[in-house]
Amino acid sequence: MSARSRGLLAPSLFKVAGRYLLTHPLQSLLMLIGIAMGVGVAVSVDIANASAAQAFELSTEAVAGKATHYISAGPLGLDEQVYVDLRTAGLELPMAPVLSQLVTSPQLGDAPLQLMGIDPFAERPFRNYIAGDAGEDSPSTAMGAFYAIPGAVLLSTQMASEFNLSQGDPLELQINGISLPAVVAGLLQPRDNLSAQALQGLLLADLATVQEFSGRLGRLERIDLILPSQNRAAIIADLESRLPEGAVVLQSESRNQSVEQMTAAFRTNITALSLLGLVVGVFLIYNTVTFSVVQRRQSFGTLRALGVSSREIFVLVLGEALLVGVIGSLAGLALGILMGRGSVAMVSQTINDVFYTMTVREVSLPAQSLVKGALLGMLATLVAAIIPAWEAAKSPPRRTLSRSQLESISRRTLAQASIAGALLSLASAFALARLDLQLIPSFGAMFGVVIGAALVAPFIMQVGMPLLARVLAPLIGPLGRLAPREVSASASRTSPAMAALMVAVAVTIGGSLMVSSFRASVVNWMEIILQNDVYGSVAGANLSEPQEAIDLDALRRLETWPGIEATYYLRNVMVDSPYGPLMIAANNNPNDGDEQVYYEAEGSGQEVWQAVQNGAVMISEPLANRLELGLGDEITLYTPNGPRGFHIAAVFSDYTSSRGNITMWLENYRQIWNDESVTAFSAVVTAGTDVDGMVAELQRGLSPQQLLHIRSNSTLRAESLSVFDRTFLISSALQLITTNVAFVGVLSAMLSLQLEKQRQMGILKAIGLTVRQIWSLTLLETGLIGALAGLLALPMGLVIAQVLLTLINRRSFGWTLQLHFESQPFIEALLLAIAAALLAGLYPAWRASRRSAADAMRFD
Amino acid sequence: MRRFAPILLLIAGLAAAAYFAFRPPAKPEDLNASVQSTPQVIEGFARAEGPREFSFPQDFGPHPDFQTEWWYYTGNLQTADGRHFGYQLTFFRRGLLPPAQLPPRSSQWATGQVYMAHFTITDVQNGDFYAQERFSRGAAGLAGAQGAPYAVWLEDWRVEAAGPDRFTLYAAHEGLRLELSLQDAKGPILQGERGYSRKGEEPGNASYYYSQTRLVSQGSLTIGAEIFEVSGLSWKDHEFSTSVLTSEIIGWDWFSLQLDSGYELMLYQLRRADGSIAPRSSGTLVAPDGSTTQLFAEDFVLTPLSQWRSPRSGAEYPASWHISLPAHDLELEVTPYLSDQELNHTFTYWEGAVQLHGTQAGQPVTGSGYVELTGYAEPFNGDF
Repeated sequence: MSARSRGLLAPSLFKVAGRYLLTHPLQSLLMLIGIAMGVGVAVSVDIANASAAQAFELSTEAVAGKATHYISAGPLGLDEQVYVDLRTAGLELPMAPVLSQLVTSPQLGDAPLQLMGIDPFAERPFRNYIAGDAGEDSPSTAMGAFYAIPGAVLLSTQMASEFNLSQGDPLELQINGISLPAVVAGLLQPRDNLSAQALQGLLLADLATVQEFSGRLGRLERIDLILPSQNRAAIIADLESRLPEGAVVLQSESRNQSVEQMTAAFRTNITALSLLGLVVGVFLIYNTVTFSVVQRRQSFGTLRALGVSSREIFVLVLGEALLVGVIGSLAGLALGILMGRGSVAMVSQTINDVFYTMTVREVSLPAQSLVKGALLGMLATLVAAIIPAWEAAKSPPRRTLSRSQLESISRRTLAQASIAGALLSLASAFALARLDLQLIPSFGAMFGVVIGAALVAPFIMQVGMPLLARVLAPLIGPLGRLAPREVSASASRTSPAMAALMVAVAVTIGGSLMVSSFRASVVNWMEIILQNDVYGSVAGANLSEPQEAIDLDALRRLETWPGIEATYYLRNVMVDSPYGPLMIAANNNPNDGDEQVYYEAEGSGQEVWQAVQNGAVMISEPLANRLELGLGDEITLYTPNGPRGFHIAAVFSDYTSSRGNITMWLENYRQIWNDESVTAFSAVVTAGTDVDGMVAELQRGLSPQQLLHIRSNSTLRAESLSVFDRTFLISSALQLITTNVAFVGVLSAMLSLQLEKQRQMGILKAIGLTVRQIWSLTLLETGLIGALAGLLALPMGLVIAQVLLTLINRRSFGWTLQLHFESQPFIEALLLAIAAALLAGLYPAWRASRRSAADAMRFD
Repeated sequence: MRRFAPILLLIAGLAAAAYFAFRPPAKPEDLNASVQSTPQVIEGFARAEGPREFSFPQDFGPHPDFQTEWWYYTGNLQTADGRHFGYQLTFFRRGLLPPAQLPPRSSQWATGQVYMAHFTITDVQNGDFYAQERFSRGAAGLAGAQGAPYAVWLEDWRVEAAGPDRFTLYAAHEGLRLELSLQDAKGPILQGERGYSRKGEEPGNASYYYSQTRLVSQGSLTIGAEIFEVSGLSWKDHEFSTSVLTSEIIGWDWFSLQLDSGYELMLYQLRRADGSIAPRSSGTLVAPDGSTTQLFAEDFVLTPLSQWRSPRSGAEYPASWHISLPAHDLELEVTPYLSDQELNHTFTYWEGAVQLHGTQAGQPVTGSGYVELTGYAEPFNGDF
């Protein structure tokens, strides 16, 4: 064929392609929906991740600015004189004092905000987001207020307009449960959008104001530094020689790195989950394209006879798929943007609950996410369409392949695919079991197991269905024989749908089993660690790691409160260490040794606790994993007297923080850090006291100035579990979407199948099948597919759950969880598979039953 | 008289503008009283409304009842082999609120005072002019001033008393370091009418102003790797006020000249937008024995002889002058040691070392001094 005629033929070929899509609108639409949903989920999760990552970066940038290092001296901070001395020593290093405080305000939506105390004159080299264009009026008035008026704060113009505040308005701030009067001294006009975002969730005040508001007079939290890259070690040594004991120069990044790593793991988890949706979508595309090829085997033969090259057929089929792929991907992008808002909310909620206080107010729409999404969609389409396109290209000229021939080819392909799938599954399973894989490879291997199994599933279906026919036939008559055989005979079109459904259901089982196991672990663990009756912390403080100090007067009152038998204190505090900041949880509960679940320990709980009272510490499992420290090792912390190693007497289970924490004896902490603060208390009431009544009584009377949140044991558990459930909201949502994609897949497959079999249905009708029997036959077929998918998904789901629990969780968050077997997820999943399949069979059944026998037979 | 309050007014204003930008309040009537919109000159600060008694060393220190205050050190220094340098070290204070209106605060950092300082070195031989600027709050020991013992400082830039009529001066920044000891040869010289220096016709348009016009200086100057032993003469101005200039004044030309005859001459003229000179322009002639003669506008003629255009700001400055004091038989030609001694920081002005020669009572006379030229790059008015 000459190049010229090829050129003439090509456009008409694509017309053929377009026409096919148009004359089969339902299939095209379903395929479109499948791609759109797959892409949409991936894009929305990517947007959520990008927004969260950007919010994190910006809040980091907002707080750390361009600082390379900072001077820190532990929980009590630095004496302000240290800064004055350094500043007047003529070091000519950019340095800026910082004292920040978490605040909330009823006028600012009650969300946690960072009140950052700064010295504006020292700020310029550090946080230039503050810089803006000078307004029309002279700012000196507001500047005067900023320095001179107590409680003067600045906020961004965006925040001001969002909450309807303007310069001069009074502003009520809640700090450590105490209400303080502030005033909006001025509005920050950010230079650009990025600065604007950095300023979200941030209030600025003069250092003096924050010292007064937080009660930390004479103290600084840290001194930010910008050190030149040359001679750094010498400069740090010189600086440290000028610092009082206990103050150290630390790298700025280390403050954020660990948190960043943790959230990165969380983001990887939901990305993986979102990609499963796309994997399911791939099966759907494969299914649809295969069907379109099968249906046109005759016309491809004719085209080949007309001189169309096999390459052109290949391009034709691929082009068709790609056309749908492009449209589907575009729709997916739109869907992703729409869903983005919801997923951003869920992701940021989880990050807030689990990792750190962050404000993601803006849904950023990174071009990168969109490009990635579109490419993923098209790539998925190509991957899914390449095999059927190749099959089509192989059509011999002018010869019509009979159905039986086709199925036998397909059978051969199925056998090959099954072997490949089995190998893939086994290899992946081996990698998971034997190799110490990192997070992303772990996910890859898990995908390998799932996809491998999905490739084996059609084979099982083909072999299993005839066997099933023997069982069903005696039970429900001819239909019982007919339906399984039909399913088996049309494996080329039904198997991808079945595989897709299986994957989706397996993921659902795996996910819910993981969550329920996790939940069970947490419930058991809380049972052991929460032994007291009443728990209290400052209102608004983080539930698991409150760091806001409780009024000492309130504690004194608590100790002598009638009906209170014993009180225990907890001090949660971040301290510096060579590994970055670490959380200490110091308590004085003498029974704490028995109120822990140990991962590994030197002796009994009581022995461990004795060691802790003598100066040892115990660390949580996530921390042990993160720092690669274990029993008998020493963990180094920066104390006011310099670095000090602490013997690790035990590693305990803990699910409050994936960052991990160090438990020590409160008296030891106080002695070393000279810090008497208490951030939470627990109390035991005398026998027979009504706990809820006591909680109400304490809530009313314990502290008139400071708002405390006092909870009973059961309330605390319930609150913890509701946080837990909120954390998994996004994974449930993603699972649901994956299942939906699979449902669309089954629907599409059934529809194709029924379309294909219209003639056969006509014959069946002609030989006397009633409408009811047509319905039964169709639904039986789809039901069988669903049931098989569901059954095969059960072991697969178990494998996924096991991988998630033991590998992914450990890699991501540092804790290991035990599989807690429950039958409910399995039963639910099986029912879900069957229901989805039956539902997908309704329309084809309705269609088949409506056509007259003659009509149907004329088709084809 | 020198360095009018606009500089000071700009301290807080421009510093703030550089760091923050504020939106105009939407509804002034809603404003909380404590942040109430106020004019540039806040009511409640004291005004210079007539002569006052000066008492040293207390009056070397700050006067927070007045909104604006500065301590200005300039000098011409030489090495033993005659290499010439000029320097400027200036501390500006700006009161944000009158002391009586400052709410009581418990934090040491809370302040009603903002300080700015300028440090320049003129290296005549190499044709280099270095200028640095710093800001700080007047609290927590970061910046401040005190009378007895006298000290004024911003971080490590510092001038302080070191004995009777003796002072030490220190400033360093990016390879520059100046350490001087200053011996006051004449004691404080009260400018204007016993230290009351009127700048306009309205009562209160005036400042309190004294100088130390002959500070015999000795010390070392470091520029990069080179250290120079230097000696020469410095001049100190100390002035405080609340509102001095009317809005018609766009800038001024100010001269502090030290003659080798033992005389010093301070002159300033206030310029209007139309180029005319305001009638309150004046000066002081200080005799070797410290006695002073007040000069009024009609007592001197100041004639620019040439111009210099700044390549950075584009402003055109007068670059040499003829000064004539007919009644005192004094004729001087004043020429900058270096054309480019323009500062381009928060605001732009020219302040540089000058040399002079001429005749006094028929005898040849030479000397050095400093000249400040403002309002050429941008008008220095409107803030009053």
